[in-house]
Amino acid sequence: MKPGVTAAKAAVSLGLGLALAASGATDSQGVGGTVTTVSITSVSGYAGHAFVYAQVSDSTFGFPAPTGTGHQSPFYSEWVAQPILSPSCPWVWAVYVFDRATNRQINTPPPDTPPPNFGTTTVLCASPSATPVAEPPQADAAARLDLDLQVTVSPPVASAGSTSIVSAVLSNALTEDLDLFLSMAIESWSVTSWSIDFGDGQMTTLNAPVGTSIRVPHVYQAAGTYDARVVAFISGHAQAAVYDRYGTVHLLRRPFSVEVGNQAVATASTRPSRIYRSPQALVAVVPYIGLSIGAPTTTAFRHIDGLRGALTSLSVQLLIVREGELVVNGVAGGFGHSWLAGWRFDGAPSDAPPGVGTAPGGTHAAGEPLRLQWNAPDRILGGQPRDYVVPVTLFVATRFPDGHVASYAIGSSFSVSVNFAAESG
Amino acid sequence: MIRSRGQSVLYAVLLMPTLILVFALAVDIASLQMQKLRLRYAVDLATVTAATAVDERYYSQTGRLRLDPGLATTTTRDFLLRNLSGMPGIPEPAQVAAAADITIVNEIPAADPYTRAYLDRPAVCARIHVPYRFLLLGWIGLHVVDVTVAANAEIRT
Repeated sequence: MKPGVTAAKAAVSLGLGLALAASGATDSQGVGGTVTTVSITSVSGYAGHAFVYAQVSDSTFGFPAPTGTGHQSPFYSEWVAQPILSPSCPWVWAVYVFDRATNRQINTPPPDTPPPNFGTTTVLCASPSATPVAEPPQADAAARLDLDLQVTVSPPVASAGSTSIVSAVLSNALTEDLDLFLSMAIESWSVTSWSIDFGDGQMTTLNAPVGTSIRVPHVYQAAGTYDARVVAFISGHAQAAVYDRYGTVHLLRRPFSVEVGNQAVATASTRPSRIYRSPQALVAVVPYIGLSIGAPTTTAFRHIDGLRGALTSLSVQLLIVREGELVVNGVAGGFGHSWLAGWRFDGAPSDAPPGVGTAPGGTHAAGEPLRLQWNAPDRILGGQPRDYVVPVTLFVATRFPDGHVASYAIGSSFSVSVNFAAESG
Repeated sequence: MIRSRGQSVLYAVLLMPTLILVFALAVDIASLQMQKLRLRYAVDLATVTAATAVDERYYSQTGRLRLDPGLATTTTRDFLLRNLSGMPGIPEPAQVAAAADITIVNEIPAADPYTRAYLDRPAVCARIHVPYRFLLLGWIGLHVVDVTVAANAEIRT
């Protein structure tokens, strides 16, 4: 890790939110016999604002746009050598400058220009002493990148133990000189990492390139007020374009890094007492004859008739007597929503053939049918049916109004009346 | 001494028709009882078969068992025809099956409309009318009697 980054993170952790850190770099380079100086100043800030200032200066004066169309200048030029047979300047450059957007020449001479008229107002001798396109010479060009970081905590007041979201949004304003003579631009900058200090002793770092905004969930376990601090570490390049007298562009590319931080206050209130009251439920069934379960019905039964000696399929349903309830600080917080997650047959093995009926003890999914058979009574018992009680354990899931989901095992049973029905007369 | 010669002939002449009548009565009544027994089996088994026609949709919708009236009636008539076909003394089994009285009782308790038997479960009640032609009693002018047989069966699988 770079020393500057380490120092900035240490400053964040110590709460020095208003500290400023500035760094500058200046270098010079000879371009076409002149001296060009590029300087970059990065000013980091931890109160929400930072900026980068880049400047290029030329020791003599600028030259017009480069030839060709492969550059980023808004203009381009064509240079044509013209002999004039002057003792002091036997030939000149006739420079034709065009607007890149429209391809229109911008230095066309007036119609009544006396000869020698080369079709341009820009004529340069080998040692030029005048500006090319009748504009004042430009000694320097500058670019500035302003960075603003907004940090928020949502919700501002949360219950201890609940999730808060720490958000940071980085905005920027960029001003550049893309001039005919000298250009200074800041390009290809990005956030390389984020550092988040939640203020409760926990920190986290996001190293992947995650754009210019983040949303980080965090749980404050204890009640209190916390300063959530976020620092964005940014790096990029500043690029200067200098044109020599031959119209050739020289690109001077310099890296920079800067940090911008800000903070927000997060408040965690006392954790409320929550009581989750379990639902009260009973089992009910919908009978089907045979192995297939038909279309679901809206009515299920606690007591059914059974066909003696017939395999009966039963769709197990949940009959809610009272829904699960949430109580917050002693006050009713609403009812939950319960559904059947599964069931278990707790009775003795039925008279169904082996492998066909439901065996006791296994856990089944909610949609699976309970398959039972009763072969008794097998004789007339005074015309009275025989009653069976079928015990079932219901596995119920309840979603409470605060999103909490709880699971319950509820014991219940339904009854079946079976007649001996082989009599005839 | 009283002459008794010829008395046995007189007895024979006088008692023979009576004996023949008794014999014919015994034979025809026995045949009639056998036919009623066969018819009883035919009706009984037809109702027992029809008593498996459970109304499955109603069962799923209510948890209660009852018979499907349409299916039970059709089943009773079909099996009456099967059981009566080939039975001796039934020249038109299709007519008998088609004319059979069939009642499906789903509202219980109730009484069998044909036998007045008590029904505590949904049941199929059926009754047929079959003409029976005597073999020997026709000599004295008694040719045909109408035999009525009824049966019911409660719901079963």
